[in-house]
Amino acid sequence: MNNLDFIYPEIFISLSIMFLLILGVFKKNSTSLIHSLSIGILLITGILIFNNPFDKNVTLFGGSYVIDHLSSFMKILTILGGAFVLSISTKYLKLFKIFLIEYPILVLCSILGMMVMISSNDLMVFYVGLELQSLALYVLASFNRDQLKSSESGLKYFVLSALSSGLLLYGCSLVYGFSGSTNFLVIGETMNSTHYGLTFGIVFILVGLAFKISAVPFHMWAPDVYEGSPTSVTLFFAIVPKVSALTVFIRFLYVPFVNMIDQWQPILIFLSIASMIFGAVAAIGQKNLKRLVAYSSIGHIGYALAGLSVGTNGGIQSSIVYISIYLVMNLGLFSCLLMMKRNDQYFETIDDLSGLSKNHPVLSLSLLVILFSLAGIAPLAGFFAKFYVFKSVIEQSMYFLAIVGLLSTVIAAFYYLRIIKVIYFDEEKEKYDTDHNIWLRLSLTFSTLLILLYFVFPSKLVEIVSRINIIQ
Amino acid sequence: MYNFLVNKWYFDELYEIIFIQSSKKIGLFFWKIVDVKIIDKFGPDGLSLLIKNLSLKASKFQSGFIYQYAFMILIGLSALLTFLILQ
Amino acid sequence: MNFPILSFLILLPTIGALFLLFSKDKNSNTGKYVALFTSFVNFLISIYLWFLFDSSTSSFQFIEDKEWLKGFINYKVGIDGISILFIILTTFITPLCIISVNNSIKDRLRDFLIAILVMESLMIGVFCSLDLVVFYLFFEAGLIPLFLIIGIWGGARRVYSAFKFFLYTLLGSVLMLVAIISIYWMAGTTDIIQLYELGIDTKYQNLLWLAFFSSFAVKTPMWPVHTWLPDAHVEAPTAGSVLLAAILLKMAGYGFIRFSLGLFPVASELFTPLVYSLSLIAIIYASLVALMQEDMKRLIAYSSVAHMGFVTLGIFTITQQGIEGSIVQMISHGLVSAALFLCVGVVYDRVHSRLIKTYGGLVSVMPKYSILFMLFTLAALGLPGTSGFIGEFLILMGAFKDNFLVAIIASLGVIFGAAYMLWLYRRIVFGNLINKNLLEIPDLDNSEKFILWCLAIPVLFIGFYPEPLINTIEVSVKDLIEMYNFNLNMNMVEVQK
Repeated sequence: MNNLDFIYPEIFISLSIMFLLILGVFKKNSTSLIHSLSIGILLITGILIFNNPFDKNVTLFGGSYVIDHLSSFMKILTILGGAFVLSISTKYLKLFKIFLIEYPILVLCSILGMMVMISSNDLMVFYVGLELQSLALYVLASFNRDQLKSSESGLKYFVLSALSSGLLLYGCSLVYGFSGSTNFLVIGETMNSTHYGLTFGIVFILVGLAFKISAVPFHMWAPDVYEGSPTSVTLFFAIVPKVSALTVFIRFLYVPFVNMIDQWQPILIFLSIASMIFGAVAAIGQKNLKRLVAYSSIGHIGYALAGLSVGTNGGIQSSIVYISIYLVMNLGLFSCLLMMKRNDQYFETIDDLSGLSKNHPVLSLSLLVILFSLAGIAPLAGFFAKFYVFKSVIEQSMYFLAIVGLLSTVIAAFYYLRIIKVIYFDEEKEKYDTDHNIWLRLSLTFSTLLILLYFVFPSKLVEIVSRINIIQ
Repeated sequence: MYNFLVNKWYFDELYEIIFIQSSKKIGLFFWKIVDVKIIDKFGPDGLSLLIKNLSLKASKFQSGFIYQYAFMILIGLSALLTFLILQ
Repeated sequence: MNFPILSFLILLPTIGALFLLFSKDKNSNTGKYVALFTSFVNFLISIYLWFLFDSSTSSFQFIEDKEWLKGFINYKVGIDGISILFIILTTFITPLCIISVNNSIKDRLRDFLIAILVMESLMIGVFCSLDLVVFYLFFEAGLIPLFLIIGIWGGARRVYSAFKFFLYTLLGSVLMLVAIISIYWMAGTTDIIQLYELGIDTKYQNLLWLAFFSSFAVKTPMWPVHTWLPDAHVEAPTAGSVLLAAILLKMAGYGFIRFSLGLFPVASELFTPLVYSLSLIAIIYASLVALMQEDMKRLIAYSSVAHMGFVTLGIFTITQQGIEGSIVQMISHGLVSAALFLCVGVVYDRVHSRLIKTYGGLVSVMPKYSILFMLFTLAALGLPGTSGFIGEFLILMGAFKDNFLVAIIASLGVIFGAAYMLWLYRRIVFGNLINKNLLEIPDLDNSEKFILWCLAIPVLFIGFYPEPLINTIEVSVKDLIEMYNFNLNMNMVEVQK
């Protein structure tokens, strides 16, 4: 019975999903209620996660489920991300007539899947969590049935995801075959030869994971899916699945495959460099902000993967710090996007931002802070995120990676600067609406302040993350 | 001889030709040719043109067709496998 | 002396900017008074600091040391003889900038003042950081306000220039970041004082020097990475050009002294010929190019490149006179180029043209302006009696001590400097008044007179009596050179072993 104590969060969320579903079906006009309830449920789940003991690592269910610092931290990030996404998208959903009970429930399902993935210590459990997460995401991507783009993006995501899941499963079966177990720890112990089968298995699994995290060259779904999905879903896509995918990367690389570091390190470095460069170069020609975000997040994932490729605890911690700051930055960016509404229409191209500074000074200032942070300019939070990653990279003397990373930062700075230019240097357009949801304003203020004032207390986050030590 | 002396040994004119004209010409050369054409071309302007071209190529690559995306995934996979085998 | 005076100096302009941020009026004058008051108070504080400063020791004073990133980086600030002069320069120029926007900035005045104040904070921060990462943060962060200043309030090609400035400078700086992180990894600290004592492994000095060099060379700007400066100056609003020329460029010179010489003595010795060559090319080349310019601001921009060429030359002579000369030259150039850009701004506000051919015969219409303009022209070319002379003279003295040929070529540069400045002055001020529009324009108004005289007085004062300046920097420079030679000898001994 002790085991169950630790998975109260998951149990709670699963039961609430079912409860909400029943409530939604049987009660008329209960959408707002369900929406608010889901946010509340997420917060309660977060509190339950906090209740888990932080001083020891626990494995449950025969070692297939693990509760440790990494899982708790990432789960809290996921939940915070999900809660914010839900709370700021109400108006958008209402406008596009997709304010339905299924939406928050699907988000909760996806988060449940992610929680299972984050805590998984076994190939089967991992796969179950992955599929739950992905299924919910397929539906969410195509949620706006009336728009062709939305359906198209959902379908594309589904088909390509199916392919990658197939590759992933194949890899899992190879690994199982050559190691004799599906448990991560056991696999880690038995894996120490450079048998081709094992290597193949690792590659297949990494390819599947790279797809999920949209690393180059397995990123091609991201721009189309990000652009086509409803904006609030894009926000969700950009933030939350990346957290869980990164966690899974960490777990896979450092628990079962930890002895095969010589095999996967070049792969990871390649993924990282390719993503950083591609994310920087390809975004330059983009006009649609959501597509630009897709490319920018590909670039950012490149940096996070660079931290992982190092092979030390410090590297892992720097990646985690990076993804946390990335989450806050994107949250802020999308809050701004969701504020660009006029006459019941949302705008999402760069030109729509023209001259924003004249009409909406506060919004422009926040965007300025967020964009410079995304570019990684000192003294904003984004700079520190990159700084930690490069510190870990240089400490392992991987100078080429560091220099490529920094050069692509400069290249990427160009398109962020261009957006700032459009906001501040160009002619103004018509004013946008200013009646926004209190949560939207709150999330924008909160993220902007966090990014701007990060330099005052930079150690806080690092201290919390430094308790996450995967490599013993 | 008289002219030479009257016109101050043509000192001013010589001065003009040897020093002033050449300085001006060199200055103009440095500016128009070296600064504008060479340094800027290779430096900022050249680089930014190069990157813009790369960017356009990258955008064209994103065709919108699923089969091409799937193909990329498989190519990426094969490339990684090949690389590992050859190691 | 427990009051964190340096942090206060850094923060005060930002607090002023915050006040402005929360005010409602976009274009009112109250904003100007708030900004002016803040920057003037800052100036008074820095003068007070100068009085308190003990110039008999080279150790850093008014140090503040706070834990920032646990066990890694501390927020550490402090000043020595070299830094304090630059801080005073910064706090002196900023109020003058704010006064100068009277006639030039009409639109979004409040935002402009906020940008200037934030820049002031960041610039002061650069000169007093005692930690590599803190220095980098302030150094980089200054890009943001200047980018906005050029891009929003600039001329016709402002977008191109702003981007060029930002990305060019950023590219140089990221290499410096790699170097800084490497230093941390090698030495275990980014604290400058500790690094001075520990010294850096000779094996790595060369690469690290080059990385730092890439950043400082772009910012100086040295030839051949100087092309961003003319564009930036031409397109920037007057106050932006003043800040850029007077202070931003000095950060690079300061960086060379503090870091390239202080941390990497062996590499500096090795690369001195490189720096000499590039400096000489800068001096001669930029002067010749300046000669042929048709746009006044572009001409002065190229003259900045030439003057900074003298500065880098002086620094790498590694002599007492050379380094002192380059510091004095930097201060002088800060004042003189600020004044020159302001002079251009004066006529631009009236006639809206920067082309030389539009002018001629101004002396009959604007006599007061002509006098002050003449003074600054002479200071720029280094006439004895002006601060420019002291700087150039000391630099050349240092150069003669180190390398005779270099000094000769540099002296040639002085001649060219005189050529373009005097020719510029003659074309604009003397001669016949051909352009009829010029008959109507007013002479200097009170604020412009005030600013230009405020700049003229120190130029003359330093020209005749540079003692206070030299006094402040003498010991710091002497000890820096001693440390440099000591490290050099230690390495020679090791190599010979």
